[in-house]
Amino acid sequence: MIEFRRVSFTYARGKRRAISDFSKIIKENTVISGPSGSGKSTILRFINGLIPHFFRGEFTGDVFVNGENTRELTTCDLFKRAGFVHQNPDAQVFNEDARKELIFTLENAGLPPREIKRRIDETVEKLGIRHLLNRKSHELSGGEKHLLTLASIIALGSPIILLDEPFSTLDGYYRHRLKSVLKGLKKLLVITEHRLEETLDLAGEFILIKNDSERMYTRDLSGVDLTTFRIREPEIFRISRETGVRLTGQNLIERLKKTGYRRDFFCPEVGETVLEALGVYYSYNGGFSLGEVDFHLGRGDVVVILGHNGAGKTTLMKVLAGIRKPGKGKVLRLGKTGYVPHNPQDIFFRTKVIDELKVSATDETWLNWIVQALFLEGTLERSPFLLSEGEKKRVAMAAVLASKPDIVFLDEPTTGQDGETVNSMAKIIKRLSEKGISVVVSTHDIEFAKEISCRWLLMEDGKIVAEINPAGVLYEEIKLMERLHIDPGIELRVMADGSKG
Amino acid sequence: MDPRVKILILVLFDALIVAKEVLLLHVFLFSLLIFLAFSLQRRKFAGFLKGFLPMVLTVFVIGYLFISPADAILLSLRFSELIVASYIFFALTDAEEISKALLSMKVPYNFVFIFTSAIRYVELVKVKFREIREAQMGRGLEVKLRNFQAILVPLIVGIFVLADELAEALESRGFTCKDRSFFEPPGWKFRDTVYTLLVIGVFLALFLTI
Repeated sequence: MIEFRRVSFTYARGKRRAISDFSKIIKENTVISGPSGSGKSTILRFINGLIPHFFRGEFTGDVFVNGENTRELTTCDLFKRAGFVHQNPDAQVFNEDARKELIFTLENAGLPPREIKRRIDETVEKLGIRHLLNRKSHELSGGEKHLLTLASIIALGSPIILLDEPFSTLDGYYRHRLKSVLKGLKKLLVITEHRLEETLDLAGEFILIKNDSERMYTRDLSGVDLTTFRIREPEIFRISRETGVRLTGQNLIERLKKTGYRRDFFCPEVGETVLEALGVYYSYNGGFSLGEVDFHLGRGDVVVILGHNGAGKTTLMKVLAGIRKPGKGKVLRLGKTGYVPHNPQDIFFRTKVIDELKVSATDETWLNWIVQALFLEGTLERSPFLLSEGEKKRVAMAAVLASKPDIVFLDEPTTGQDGETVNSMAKIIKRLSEKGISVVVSTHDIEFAKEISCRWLLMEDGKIVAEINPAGVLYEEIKLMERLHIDPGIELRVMADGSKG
Repeated sequence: MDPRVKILILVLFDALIVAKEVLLLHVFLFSLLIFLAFSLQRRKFAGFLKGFLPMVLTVFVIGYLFISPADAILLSLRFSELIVASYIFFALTDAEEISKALLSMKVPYNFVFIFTSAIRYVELVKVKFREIREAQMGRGLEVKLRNFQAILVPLIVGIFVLADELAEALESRGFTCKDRSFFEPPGWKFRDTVYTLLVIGVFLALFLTI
């Protein structure tokens, strides 16, 4: 049990309160959601003592973990009681290989060697990750790193597990793996997450946060206006609201089919060809990363690339954008290209947003249009490094668009973003398409994909294995998506069932 | 072999290279080291050679111009030997072993950990460098020496962000605990004593006879 008693905190580095007068008893699995920067991670940091022992600041109130006041314990006492899986998988694997990583945590806890060996054996068996043990850390994927961190916490036996946006960087396969591991644990889980659909069957209770002082606690999300918390409505709630069909019980898909349920897709009018790729092959450091890929793109088209992490989505976009030279094959670019990286901070180097936008700007009127279309009017004089996560994404996008490209590539634009940001991103993409700019987007987010495009490419192991039009999706295509661990969700299944024959 | 024995061999080897100026000895040592390095890591060492050949040439040219042709040859041979000997040492000793050696010399665990992590994160910084360069190309910015800040600023910011996240995650995993245990305590075996005596004997003989 975790108890917060009238907790307020201001980070020493921060200007405003991160959390005000928070009182709550957490007894069952809890999911915390709300906009970026609203203090979700802050709540987790109290539970394992990072606040006040690691992060300094102004702290009033008390936090009790299983009856003990965290002020009177050290982070060393607390990591044995509450394990923490942090957001960035790359920043929490410290050792050379997976085995050493597991040993590291147990050594820190001071366990004797024989006990360390026993617990590691037991845990890797339980989680089915024995094959990871001898792998080098830098070869592990984000999902594998998350599982490994979780494994070290489980081996330690911490009764509470804290997870900070665990699903955001994972692909469908690892989201599923992680979820099923979490479901089987008899631990108290506290999870922060933007994508509620991932957590619906994990949570007993939800804490929805608006800002430092406005919060809501609920066991049942139906009927809650999630948009006021900048949270995107999970698909199942949206459909239920639109159709009036109750979302619980069996045969949901069957019942929906009877209502003749369909949805609209954004299928832009496509002009002349602006890019064509033939037999493109790319390999890096001796490793194979792109098979022989053919691709064509018309003016104003919006294309979504789906596929597992490491399938080659980023590489394909970089080769098409002319950033990487293909080893074999040809890319014909009849227009100018731009590429927006996944991490916006990879391109910022000026102290003001406006200067950042001017780096590759050519045309004043165009720049003004972009600023207005990407909702950036209020940010121009501010530092790009100090903006919210959603603003950073839009500034990076504007900085690329400033060079007036005919084709723009967006690398996972919605990963880790709150619902509001995802919605504005979809609006922006549609506007660009209407302006005649072609957009290619990689994503793991099917709800987002449905919103912006009706031309989906599915990638697997460096190859494009299928091209799908979701508006006329076929039963076999749903089966293929399932095989590739891309969850098609409810409505595509409903629509595809008609094509079963 | 205990990493401390390896360090001892490296130190004695380097001392021999520095102390003795017999051309024949150095031709022999040079060939021996090159042969060893190639048989250990053929492709990697070839890549390494490409990078360090210009340095050897510079040493040779300086020696040729300022001292004498004969000395230039000797100088560049000895310089190469020192480098290749260190190369072989690091090829045979991983960061883990070095950290164990440091630990057994009573260096505090935290320092040793930071030292070995620094070695590992060089790779991560290299990846980050490439990502940033490609990201800047994505907005039509070819990074040249003139606008190098376009890489430097995001790289430094990225490293600071990563360092912050690492520090927080380390704290969450009990890194600051006082009563840490060791799964495989660093240990000195009997055969390490034999190696040490053998190594000292061989080098003593070399020093006295050449």
